Amino acid sequence: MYAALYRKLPGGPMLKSLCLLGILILVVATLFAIVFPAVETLLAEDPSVDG
Amino acid sequence: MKPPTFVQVLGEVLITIGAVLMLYVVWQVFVNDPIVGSVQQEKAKQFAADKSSTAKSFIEITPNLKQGAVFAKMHVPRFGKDYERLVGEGTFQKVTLNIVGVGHYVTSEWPGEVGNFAVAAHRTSHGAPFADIDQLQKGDRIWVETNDNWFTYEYRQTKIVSPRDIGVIDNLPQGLAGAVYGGKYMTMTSCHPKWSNDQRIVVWLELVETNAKSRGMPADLLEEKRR
Repeated sequence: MYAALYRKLPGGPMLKSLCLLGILILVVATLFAIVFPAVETLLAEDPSVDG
Repeated sequence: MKPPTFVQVLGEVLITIGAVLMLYVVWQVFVNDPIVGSVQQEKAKQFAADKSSTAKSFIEITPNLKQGAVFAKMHVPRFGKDYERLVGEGTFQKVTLNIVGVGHYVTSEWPGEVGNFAVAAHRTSHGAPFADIDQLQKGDRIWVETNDNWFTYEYRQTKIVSPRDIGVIDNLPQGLAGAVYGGKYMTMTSCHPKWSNDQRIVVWLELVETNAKSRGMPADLLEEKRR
């Protein structure tokens, strides 16, 4: 899966690494800004007190 | 080039899921907590101590307040000289603890009353209002501000208990040394240790002073905030 993605990226190893870094940043930013806040609201409520 | 086997793909998918779960924890602790904490702080500051024209008022304390209704604000200099958090009715997570910050146990008394004014808040996550509850010590004071009064509570005791020890929030708090009927206590509860739900940390305080809101912020709290 990841090997196939790496092969599909353009350029030599340096450019491929830069592209990978960009993709990684994009994925993490999407998770932090959109996915995780959305998941947080869906988590089940426990009507007791915990910390 | 040979196509990847099922096991290879499955392995990569599982590693990805693991990485995402770890990222969720990182987000919760290092990104979400500080953001939510500062939002809670800013919301608390909108309820100004002096009744300026732009300041919000707390909901008047009446029986059967709805869950999440904000009726007071806590000032805890030990948690930071500007530390302020709103206190909402009830301890339901989604309505009060995760949003408002500090929640009042509905079966306990109101601030300043005879008996036990008991509150809970997260130790970690959702702004972690009671992250430093274990730092409270002898001599520390906490101020609870309502529409009409400032209540000054002074630290008495900390205890680690089981989640089943619900007597800690009784009118006569079980486990508080020297507690007497007629006393005016405050109980703060949270999880213990951090990142665990196994035990509860309980801090008891006792009312030492009540001041009318019209007299302004208590001098000793002002001094703490200026330090």
